[in-house]
Amino acid sequence: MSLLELKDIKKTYLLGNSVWMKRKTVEAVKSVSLTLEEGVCLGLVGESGSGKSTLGKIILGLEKPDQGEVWFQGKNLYGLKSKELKELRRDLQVVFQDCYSAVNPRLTIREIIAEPVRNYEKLTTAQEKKKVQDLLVTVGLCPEDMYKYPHQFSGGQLQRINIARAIASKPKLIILDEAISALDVLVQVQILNLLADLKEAFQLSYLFISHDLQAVNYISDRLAVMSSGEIVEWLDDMEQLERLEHPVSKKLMSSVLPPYLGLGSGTKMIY
Amino acid sequence: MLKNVKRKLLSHKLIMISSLIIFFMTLLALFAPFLAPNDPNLVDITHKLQGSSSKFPLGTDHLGRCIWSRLIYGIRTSLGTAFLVMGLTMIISIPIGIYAGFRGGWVDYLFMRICDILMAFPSLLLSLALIGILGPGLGNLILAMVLVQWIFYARVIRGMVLSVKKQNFILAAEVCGTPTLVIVIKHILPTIISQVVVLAFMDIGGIILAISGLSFLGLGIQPPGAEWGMMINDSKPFFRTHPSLMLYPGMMILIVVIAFNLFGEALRDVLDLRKE
Repeated sequence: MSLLELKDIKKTYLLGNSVWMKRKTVEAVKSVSLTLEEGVCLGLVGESGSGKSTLGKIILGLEKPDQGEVWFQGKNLYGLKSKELKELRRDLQVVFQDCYSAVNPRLTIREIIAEPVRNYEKLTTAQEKKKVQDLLVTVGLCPEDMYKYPHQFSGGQLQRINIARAIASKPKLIILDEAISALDVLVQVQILNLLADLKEAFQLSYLFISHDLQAVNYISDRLAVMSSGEIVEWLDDMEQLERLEHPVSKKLMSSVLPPYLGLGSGTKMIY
Repeated sequence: MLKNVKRKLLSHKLIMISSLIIFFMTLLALFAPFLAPNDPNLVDITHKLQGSSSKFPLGTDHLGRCIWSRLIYGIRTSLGTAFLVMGLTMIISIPIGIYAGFRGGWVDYLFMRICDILMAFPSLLLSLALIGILGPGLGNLILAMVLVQWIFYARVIRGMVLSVKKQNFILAAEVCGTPTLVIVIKHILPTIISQVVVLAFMDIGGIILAISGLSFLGLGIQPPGAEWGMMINDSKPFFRTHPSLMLYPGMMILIVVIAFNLFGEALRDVLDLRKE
């Protein structure tokens, strides 16, 4: 049994809000099927507007697909009662691109990280505090940071806090929705390394949604290329990155800058 | 952040002045029985239409009632009714606005259509019609105003919720397994409440005006109760001989409404709602 299985997912958005005219539609995702095994990081790349993020939201149970099924740990995500869904969601987490809007600016870091903990575990105040401190240390921050507010942190630090919240409920799968795209390159590497370490330590699986082939190459085990709502190319072995054939894949490949002139497009990350 | 707001509040001149006026008025209203030299409703024809004296600081009206006492008791009616109307409006419109905005779907659609219909009428006209049906009186005045007002606030609150709802931290909370009610109380309500409070304060002045206006027409507070709008109406026949009868309650309305409007506007500046 694979961890996550998507069967023929379709999602169409209605545009505008007119009663009189026929409404325009946009097919964000059309007929996507994919499987994700446990402990694997699947990179999902594509241009902006190709339906990657919509697919991420469908997997998280935030957007109901028009057609198709999402099977997570052998259970149909959209066929569950709300109580069962809550239990299942414990194993499913997300890190968003915009780290600033992903946290409530009015809450302390402690409140933010403790939110999933409170929903699933009954801890005393002292235990909860300890847990938040441990999580902060795990993602490379100080335990004292839990008394601060989000605006006191930089983007990279805040993304670490988002990651801490994501791993707080000990999930199996984390959707990284452009999780590093808003950060500068040096911080991107730090976060990628952190994610790789966490994957080892907690036996996580990732769905790494990105438009940055370089970053995907750094962390992913497998690759799917998405274009206008469909998966157009698969890669089971990241070593064969040069073999990508689809025009969109080529376009994404060519947007990767070579680290040194004359070495061709960079398939290795050099920093 | 809170410290910052406090400092701004103290340094803001408009806020200081307007809140002092409001505070002073509230004190007058609270201690009206001790501050009023005479019974505001005591009719004494022998003292009618007198000028100011030591017994009647601002003179008497056509029934010999003390104007100063009536003005002070009038604060009670005006402020009390205005805050009651606003409170009731909020109690109705906050839950409905949040529900419509957060849930969306057909509930939201139905709500919006009701809004569209009600907003086609000027609100004062609608209140007038309602009071006409229900009959004049303080209770009916409050009821009519709340029934007309809540829809406007609910609509604004719905809009606020719609913009907050799209933020990622709401989605993240949902993914974290936080129950919907907790999301609303912990994330949505604190985010919109400051804007709602400012909105309410900016409108209190309008409500006081509307109450006075309706009372002037004889639809609100019934005699012998003291109310500024009604006092103006009472003094109409004596306008040429005793213009001060009309001037005093008019000045009170002016001062209180300006104070609340300035307070609301300054509050908006201080909380700088555009940034949030």
